[in-house]
Amino acid sequence: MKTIRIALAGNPNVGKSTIFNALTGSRQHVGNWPGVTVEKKSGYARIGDHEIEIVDLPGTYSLTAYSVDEVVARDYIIEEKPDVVVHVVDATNFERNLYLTTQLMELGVPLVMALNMSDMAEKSGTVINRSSIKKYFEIPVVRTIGSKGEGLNELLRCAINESETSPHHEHAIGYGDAIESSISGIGTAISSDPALAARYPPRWLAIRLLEGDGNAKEKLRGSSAEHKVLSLLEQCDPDQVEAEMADRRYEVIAALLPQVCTTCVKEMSSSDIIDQVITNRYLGIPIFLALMWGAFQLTFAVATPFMTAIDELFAYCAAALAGSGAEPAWLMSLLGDGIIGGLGSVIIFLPNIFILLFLLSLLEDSGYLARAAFVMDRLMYAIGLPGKSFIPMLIGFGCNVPAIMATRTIEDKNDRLITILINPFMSCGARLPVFVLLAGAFFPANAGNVVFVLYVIGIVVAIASAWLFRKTILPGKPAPFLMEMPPYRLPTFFTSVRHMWDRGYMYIRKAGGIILAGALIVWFLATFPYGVEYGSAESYAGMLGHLLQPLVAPLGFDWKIAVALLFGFIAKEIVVGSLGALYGTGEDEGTLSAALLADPSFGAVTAFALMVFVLLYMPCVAAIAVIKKETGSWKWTIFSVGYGIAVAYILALVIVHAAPVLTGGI
Amino acid sequence: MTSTLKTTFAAVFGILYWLSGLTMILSALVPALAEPAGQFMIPADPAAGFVLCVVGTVFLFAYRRLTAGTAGGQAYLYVAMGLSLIFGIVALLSMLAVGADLILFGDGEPWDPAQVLIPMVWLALLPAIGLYAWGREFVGNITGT
Ligand SMILES: Nc1nc2c(ncn2[C@@H]2O[C@H](COP(=O)(O)OP(=O)(O)OP(=O)(O)O)[C@@H](O)[C@H]2O)c(=O)[nH]1
Ligand SMILES: [Mg+2]
Repeated sequence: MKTIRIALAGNPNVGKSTIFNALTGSRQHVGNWPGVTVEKKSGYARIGDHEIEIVDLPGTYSLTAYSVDEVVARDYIIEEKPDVVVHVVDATNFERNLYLTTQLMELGVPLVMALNMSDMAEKSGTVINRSSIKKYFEIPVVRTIGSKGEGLNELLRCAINESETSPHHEHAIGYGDAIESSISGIGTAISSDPALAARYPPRWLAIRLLEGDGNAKEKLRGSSAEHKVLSLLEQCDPDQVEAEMADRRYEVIAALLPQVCTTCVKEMSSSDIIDQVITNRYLGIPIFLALMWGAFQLTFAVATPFMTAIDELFAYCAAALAGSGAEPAWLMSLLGDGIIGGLGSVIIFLPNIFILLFLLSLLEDSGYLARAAFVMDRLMYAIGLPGKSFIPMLIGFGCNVPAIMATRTIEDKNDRLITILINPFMSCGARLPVFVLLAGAFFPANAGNVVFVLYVIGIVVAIASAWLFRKTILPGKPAPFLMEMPPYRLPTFFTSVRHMWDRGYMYIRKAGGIILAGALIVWFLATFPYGVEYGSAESYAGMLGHLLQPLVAPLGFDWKIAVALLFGFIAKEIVVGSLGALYGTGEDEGTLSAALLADPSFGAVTAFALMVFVLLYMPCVAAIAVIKKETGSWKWTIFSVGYGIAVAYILALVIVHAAPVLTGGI
Repeated sequence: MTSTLKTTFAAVFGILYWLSGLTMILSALVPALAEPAGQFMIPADPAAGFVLCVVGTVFLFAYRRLTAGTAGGQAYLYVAMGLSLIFGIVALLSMLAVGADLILFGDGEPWDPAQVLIPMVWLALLPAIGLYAWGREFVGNITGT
């Protein structure tokens, strides 16, 4: 058994993860916009007597990395030296992809080209001559259709073959006499340190250094050749050299292109024409808002029968339990109040979460997401953020954890930090149960619109905070918006369902794990010390609640809410689960919303203030962990939590005090 | 010939969408309007009204571009029809879901379709046909199907 390691590299959105999933049977997220994958992921495949480790990398346009995800890709290729690099190329956009090809060729890694999206290219009449690529670039080419799994076995075989043929030599692009002499001078200096020269091809490293690649300079650090190389570098102007080299690469590409692709001419496609409308200066934002409204409308309406069904099921169980009169009483209470009341009150909302995730997948797969980012760019720029930040914000509607990871595509450090800090204000799926419960109970006629307003409040607070941070602690100018528009695709029902499931499964796992645990703890606290009335002020929960209650009293929240909010730190669904456990399911089939309505301390204003508070008050534990990981700083993590609590508290306070004035004290 | 048809189509639907949208918004603001609007099965719902106005605006943009002969007039028309189809489906699904809920789990409450975004459904009928008739080729080019 031989083992080889293959890396999938290429421009963003060319289908690397699709191929990776097909080869390894994994379920990495795939989406129709650049920047889906931000971390390297590995999986295994076996062919003949070869065990193959396949590594999916984030997309990158060149090996000169600017953003965190590109650094991940570049470092893997350069430092970890996979046996073969499979360069996945989008055949519909061949020319643009060649820039990376030239860089990979210069690096001299064993290279195989996967000509992906061949179906689309052939449909549009693009003809790419594979044998001439082989001839001029000296790399094997395989035609693939990632989404249908075509050509993948051949791709693997080709890669294995390539790993076994040796030696591999770098392919030199001539950069003209002046630059060439600098390259060879620096190259010789690098070769004087054998350890360094063994790690990085000297010519390649020399080129990188001449281009002023900061990362390449770091590779030099500590080497015996460092001093000599740096003094040679001082004689050149990196900006000018870089520009000249890029020009040369494009010249080479332009010269080779007609040889390999006779029809790679770009015309205005239907995609471009539609973009004109969708991104129209006046229509873009209204269309975006209308589509979001559509998503929420569907989330509510379509979930209704499912929710009622689950609700009836739990009500039936609760009634059966109460009616059975079985002993011991504490066990009955555990089942009835703890599990059915606590866990059940969260599970009811799974249909909402799943439908919302399904619709987000549709927006993503169709290619609209990138347009939305483009449309919002003007607005975002005005508040000091790049349009790119908008994608993580939208992903935050599903879950803030992948959304915060998605900020890796943002190059500028301050831009990225701001985007991370405002992300928790984007209302994730876990907050939906709280909204649906309270809006449904207290604003029955307008529940959908109330929830929509909450999402909008989240966006507004996020944008206002971004503006504030920009003006105060994280100054700077946003980078201009540069993102390739992915093509429109008619999303297929099954891919979107699969995306929905991949993301939604997390909520089911959470329900069976952390939320169940939370509900049980709350039940335990509400039941003991032994003998007190369930959920009364004498129980531990009551004591804890009364301890905390002064903190939230100004907001009009009572002690039960205080306890629920405390446990909501772990996961926001637990707010509903705790309320469910604390209010119990009662003797009759009374639902949680009925119990809330019956509580005199709960009014429409309190409910709204509570929703706003839950929307903003702090990221959940998982989001806090990822904020720490991505910012690499406890200071910013703590800041994020503190800022959230402060904003939530102030807004809730304003609502509680302003609402009676505005509505005439109803 | 087709171009006059398309222009008229864009104008008529621009106006229809705007009228229904405005009615939905106004009848939410002015309770006195809700009753007569209800006669025409137009519920009071400002958010949905806004959406109708957005679709109407895209139709009107299409009208202006088609008459002026500027490039992209067709694209506006297709996008407008596409949007009206999308929201037609949204409204239809909402209607069916609410209906299913009442029929399956309701306590005999009657199902009143007029409560649920009805103009969004019937307004989408003709644009859907238009999209099919005029836009098949156009959409086919985009989606590669
Ligand atoms: N028609 C067609 N679509 C494809 C093919 N391969 C991938 N796709 C689609 O292309 C889109 C991008 O696929 P991904 O696998 O996420 O691309 P990626 O290269 O991993 O992108 P990043 O992670 O952003 O760098 C998805 O919508 C896929 O369904 C193909 O061969 N033909
Ligand atoms: Mg990917």
